[in-house]
Amino acid sequence: MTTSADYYDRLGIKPDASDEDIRKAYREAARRLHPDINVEAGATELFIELKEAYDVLSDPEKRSVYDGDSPEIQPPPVQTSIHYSRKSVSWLAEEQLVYALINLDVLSDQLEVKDEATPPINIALVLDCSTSMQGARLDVVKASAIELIRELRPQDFFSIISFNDRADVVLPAAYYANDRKSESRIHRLQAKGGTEIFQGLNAGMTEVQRNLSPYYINHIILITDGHTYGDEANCQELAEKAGQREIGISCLGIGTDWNDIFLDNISTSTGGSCFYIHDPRDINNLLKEKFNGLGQVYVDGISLNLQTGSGVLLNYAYRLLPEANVIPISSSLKLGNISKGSHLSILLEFILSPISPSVLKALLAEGSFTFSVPKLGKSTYRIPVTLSPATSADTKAQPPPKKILEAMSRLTLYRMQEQARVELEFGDYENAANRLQNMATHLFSTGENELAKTVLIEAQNIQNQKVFSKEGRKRIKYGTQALSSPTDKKKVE
Amino acid sequence: MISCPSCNHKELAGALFCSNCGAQLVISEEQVATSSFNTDDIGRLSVLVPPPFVPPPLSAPDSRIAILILGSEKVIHISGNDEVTLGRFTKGQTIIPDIDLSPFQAYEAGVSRLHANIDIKGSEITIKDLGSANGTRLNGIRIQPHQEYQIKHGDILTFGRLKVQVLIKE
Repeated sequence: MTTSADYYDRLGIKPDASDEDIRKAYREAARRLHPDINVEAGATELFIELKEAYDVLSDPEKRSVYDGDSPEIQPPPVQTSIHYSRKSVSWLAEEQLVYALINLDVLSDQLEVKDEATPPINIALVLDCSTSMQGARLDVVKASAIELIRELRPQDFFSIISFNDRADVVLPAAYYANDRKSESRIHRLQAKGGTEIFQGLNAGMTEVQRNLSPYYINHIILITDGHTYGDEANCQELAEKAGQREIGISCLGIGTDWNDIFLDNISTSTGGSCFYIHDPRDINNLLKEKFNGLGQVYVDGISLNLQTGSGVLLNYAYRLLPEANVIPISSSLKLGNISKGSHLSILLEFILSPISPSVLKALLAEGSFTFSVPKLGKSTYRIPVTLSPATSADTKAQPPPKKILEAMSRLTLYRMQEQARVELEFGDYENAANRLQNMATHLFSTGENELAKTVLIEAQNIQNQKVFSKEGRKRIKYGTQALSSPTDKKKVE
Repeated sequence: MISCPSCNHKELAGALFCSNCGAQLVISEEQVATSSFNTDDIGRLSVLVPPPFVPPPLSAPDSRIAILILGSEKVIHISGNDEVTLGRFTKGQTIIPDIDLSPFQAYEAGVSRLHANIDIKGSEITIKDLGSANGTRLNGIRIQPHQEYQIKHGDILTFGRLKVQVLIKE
């Protein structure tokens, strides 16, 4: 190769890009760089380089020769494991449920020394500065933001956006390690105006995209305390775009007035999570934890692309680790990232249509994990996944593996509160209240007395006033969500 | 189907916990290891054995399906065992959709006048795009017009750019 950037880089695509992707990327770039419309100095050279890359990659023969010259891609040290709720799926003339627990682990002991260093981060902090943030909330947020800047490493990109009805770029994406001058700009932030989350997210996305790179951990952290007005669909669209570009979004909701369903959707569409902050003083720790976590990411942009077998329905998907939350079901499940020494663990619930004895193996789903390893560069890795347990005539209850049973016992509580919320929507107050009472019993028996009490109070609220309090609703949702993670959440510091 | 021993709620075979009361429906490996009775006996307990051939539950009563307009948190109930059309009402329109989405910025979101219909046939609920201009997505995946797709609780439907979540009561 004569020039520094490789052909795939020049087109801004990945080595596994399809012919269609290559064509699209070329057309898009050519429109920008064509000498007829772009007279900027150097643009012609760029266009020639682009053309050269396209000529090779668009020709399957030349492309395979070129690919052969690329240094061999070492498989990353990760490992998958799959457990089913039954050793064998029963031949049954009715529908049945089968659970699959799937883990993806980084084998830390196989990491080479060069892999040890963590990749740079490229994070935009998007801060709600609407009137409701006035006082303790904004003060804590400002103090936390300043602390984060002080902890930045020289290689880290960082940006801060404040928004109310419109967005302001407080710190444009750049290196800020040891930059004390930037702090005064954060001090000057003031709370006023309304909340239009799309404005903030959009500006955050712009800042992250300035330095978007498969070698960095690209992420947006949104901190808000209110409902957004009228731009939910735009936000969701933006989140899906972010997910495709491997930009994660995490949301921190302060207090009780924000829309948890909306923020959950935004973050989980990208593989990120949403956190509930009851006491503004918790912001600092949570933000630091999130930041440090992102700084340690080893495997990023994890998706599980699954095609279900015939007569099989993927009914529910839940991530247990590293962060617990429901995964929106699509043909490509967005699962976020994992740090060295941590694990990804997800639980899938399948509904199977009747199985006749002629079937020896039940194909639940097949597909692959795809992910990138920022430390190792731009390659997308693929690990095939086939979920296909054996079948048998045995219809007896088989003891499920302990891991699945434990995971399900916790997840059941989360799903009960989901169900109670649906019942409430339908005006089915009696069942909703009963369900919460059942939940409280389980929570008391496992020693979660605080949460159990909150649940009982809400059960009463529903019986007496036919409403779920905003605070109780969030406490119960995020409380049971936190419980669903196998490791006990011990806060850092 | 199996029934929960504590609340009698019906669950699909293979369920590990009762979704109604949270009771555990299967024995754990540890319980097997520490008990002295043999597992064939467990098989005789009616609770733990899914009996083969159970007739499916009868079709459910009215209004067990609703749609939640995402972003507005407004819920629209759909009643009856029938076909329901969704769309956007404008003046002078001859065929009026059963469910008018215009209060939810349907025009801006690109919802067609007759966009899609939801068909409730007993336990099976399907969505069909009526050849709308901007299409319908089921959980983010665009569906073919004039073709029925089964929907279930929690599914996200997108009409143009308007997102709604399907809520189905058990």
